[in-house]
Amino acid sequence: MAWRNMQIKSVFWMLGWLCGLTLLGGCARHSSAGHKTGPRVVSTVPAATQILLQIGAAKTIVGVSPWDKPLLPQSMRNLPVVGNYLHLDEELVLQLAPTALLLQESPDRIPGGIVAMARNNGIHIVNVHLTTFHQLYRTTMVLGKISGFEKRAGIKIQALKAQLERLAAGRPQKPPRVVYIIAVNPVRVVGADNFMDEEVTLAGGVNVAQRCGEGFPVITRETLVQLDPQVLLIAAPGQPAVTGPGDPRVASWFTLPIAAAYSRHIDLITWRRAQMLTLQVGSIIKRLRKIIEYSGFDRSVLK
Amino acid sequence: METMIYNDIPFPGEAAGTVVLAAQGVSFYYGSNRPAVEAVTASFKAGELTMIVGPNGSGKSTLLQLLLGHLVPAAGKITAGSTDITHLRPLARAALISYVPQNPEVSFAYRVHELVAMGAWARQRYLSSSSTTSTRASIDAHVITQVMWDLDIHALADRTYDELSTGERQRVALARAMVQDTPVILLDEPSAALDIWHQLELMERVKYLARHKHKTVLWVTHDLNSAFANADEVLILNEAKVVAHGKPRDVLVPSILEPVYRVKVEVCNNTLLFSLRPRQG
Amino acid sequence: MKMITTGRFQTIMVSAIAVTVLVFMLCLAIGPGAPGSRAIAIGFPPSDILQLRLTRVGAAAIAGAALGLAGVLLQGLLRNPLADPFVLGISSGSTVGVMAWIVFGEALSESCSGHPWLEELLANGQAIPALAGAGAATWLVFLLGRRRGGMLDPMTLILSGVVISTIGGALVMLLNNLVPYGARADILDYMFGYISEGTSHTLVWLALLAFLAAWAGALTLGGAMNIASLSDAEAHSLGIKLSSLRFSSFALAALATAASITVAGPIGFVGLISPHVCRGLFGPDHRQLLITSPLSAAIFLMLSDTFVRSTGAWFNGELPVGVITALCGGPFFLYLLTRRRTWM
Repeated sequence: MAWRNMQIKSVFWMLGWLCGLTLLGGCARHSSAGHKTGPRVVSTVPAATQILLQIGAAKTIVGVSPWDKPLLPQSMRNLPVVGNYLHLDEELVLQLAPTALLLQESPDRIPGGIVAMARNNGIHIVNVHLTTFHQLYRTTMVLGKISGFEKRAGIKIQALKAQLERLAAGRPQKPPRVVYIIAVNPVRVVGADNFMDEEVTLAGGVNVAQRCGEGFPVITRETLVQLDPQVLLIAAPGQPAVTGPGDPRVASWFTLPIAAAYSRHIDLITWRRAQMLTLQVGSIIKRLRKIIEYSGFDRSVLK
Repeated sequence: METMIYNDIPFPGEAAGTVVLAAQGVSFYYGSNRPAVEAVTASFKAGELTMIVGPNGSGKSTLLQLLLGHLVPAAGKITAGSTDITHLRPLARAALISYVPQNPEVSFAYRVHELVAMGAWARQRYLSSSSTTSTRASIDAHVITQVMWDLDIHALADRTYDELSTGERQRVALARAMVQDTPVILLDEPSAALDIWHQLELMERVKYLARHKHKTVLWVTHDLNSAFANADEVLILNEAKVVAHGKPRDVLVPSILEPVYRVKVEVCNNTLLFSLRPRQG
Repeated sequence: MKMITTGRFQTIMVSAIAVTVLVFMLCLAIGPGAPGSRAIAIGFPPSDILQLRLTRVGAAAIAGAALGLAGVLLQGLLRNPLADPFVLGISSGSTVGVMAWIVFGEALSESCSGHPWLEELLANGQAIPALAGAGAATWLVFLLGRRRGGMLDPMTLILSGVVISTIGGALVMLLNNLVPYGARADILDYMFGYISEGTSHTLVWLALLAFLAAWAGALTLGGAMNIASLSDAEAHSLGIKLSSLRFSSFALAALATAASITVAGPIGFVGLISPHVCRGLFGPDHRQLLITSPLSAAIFLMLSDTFVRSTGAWFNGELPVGVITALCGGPFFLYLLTRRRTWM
């Protein structure tokens, strides 16, 4: 189970390391325009790319993964695509002459060829691991260091910490029980020890599914009934907003004997970056809080 | 064993000497251009044991499968009575012709009694609408037991197929054909793996079926002396064609056999003696 | 001499049905304990929970029985004890269907708006695309598996199935590359197979109907399937029309597999093992296998699924049911294998 869970953990911000990107990777080959001085970063981790943008280090990015493309500002969409760690276009990476290469993989699982290539060409490999807020701070500092925006990273982190403290202080006295479903076939929920669990807490809820396991465990609807959440959040990134209780995407959940169904508090989380951990996590938490504290929520059902 | 009467099969009558099965200009090709059977015309009569002989690859087994209706001729036709056998319903054909292959195959570990009982399946299906089904089933159970005694496999009834020797397997296939109890019986080297006692036993049994039950029996063999001694008719095939068809004493003669088998043949005391010809040059 | 008598048939059939019903009840009474505890709750549940369990145990029973039936039909058809519903590329087809749904489903949903029943079915997740994919793969294998003259040929069928499986795998990988960032990789979960309480009741009833239809059809083939275990010529001489028998077996197996994929996705191993176990226990007679194999497969899958359903707390979340079917079924299968000399 361990390998599986590890994969699931990574799946939500880095989609499917399972296979190569030969098709998409082949489309966007660019040759870089000469070697420039200063930090040059190739990022294959979309969340890390976003953090680089957020600390103002956009100009240091010289190559990305195919999954970054739709998330980048228009002006950066023609950046070369280098693939992912399994199918890294090493030739292209060498052409780009980066000073740092961001990968999302534990060091022992990176293919030896890539490690050797990096060592021989003075490329610094950074293993980005973004599962908790603590790792977010650490990663941001590392990214600041390699891109030369260390100071800016420090300021951003302080700002984020302050924002999160304010959010924590504003938690309601009686936070509602929340279950956050991230996949429905089968029902996979946000469990303990991950940033989405922390988000739910800071957004003013109690993630009752913490008890079901670490990471993102699969639970039965029967367990869901026993958890009896007052708020049920269902991830549906990129989909249209929920139209009402009759919406087929939520209708079946309303038939369950849970408080959230009685109080009509079942919501789809449709924004695309809700499952990505970046410095914008504060605004995600604010949006979650609005949903959890939705004014139509009938508080009389709280026991 | 009583003989069943079937209403809609072209059962040609039991009188000895009636033509039951006939091939008219039958040819067959296995993909390539070389025919496996070419323009074979022959007829087989009730009450006769016809033995089919010929060198390896002469088309004996193919002819048998054509007569069975398993292979469909590329040219010519095969008739049972007056009906083309390709037009027969499978169940009706199973009531008319039974078949014992050279190498019986079974994919799962059936027990001997189950395999023998398969011979009665078509008949039971065929008659399932009639009121006599249960009577028939008990008669079949009796027949199955009898045949297993006759072919000396009664003691093997509860063995699975993979526990049997080749000879025992051959006897199981024979027993199934006997249970099928059809007017026409096609045997493809049925005694090849049998010991001498079982060979002689089988020959007596088959001769009895032909002479007294008026069955039409076609027997493919390599044993020319057995054909010489036992057959009513002998059909000699060579290179896909019929070389001779007639009484054993008329066709199993050196002038016919020597070019077919490329050996020297002498007849001595009603026995055929074979020897290799001295190499020429 | 012992014959398979009507009496023995009836005993086997009645006891198999009785055990299936008992296991069904037992599975309804077992469930996960309170969240956070590792206990398993045993007892009659409140009615709302019972509703959930009924759907899930029922779906497991249908999926298992359908797999057991398809296994017998295909092993008989292909004369190959290693055949199962997924050797023919059917599971790979369903995975391609689901993957295509993940990639193109959004656009498809939009084009279907305005047809409420279609919308509802599509919203019910992966069953429909899975069926479409499985159907396409089955049809392809069927077309490829015919010899000249139109008769299905066992060896050609198996080879076509293997090739279709491989092509399906490649398509899954190709589609995987097209998955937009932010979409979930549901495919991982799908490929293991799972049974959900959330399965639409319409789908469960449809699957039950499809399975019962396939079963009723298959029960008439038992005697002919026995004889078709002989060589082609022998089967032919005994009155079997092989072309139509093979077509029926294939079509009924495809229908049963469809029923199972509808409610459970591609769960492997059950369809392979249950005909074997029943052959080992009661003999190779297909008239008996066609009854015992579906029922024993239903029992096996109900128990396996109840285990994973009740033990989420032991394994940091529910295990895929395929893990248990392989882990429990495998050793039992090996035990039977060593106990008997041959498995022909």
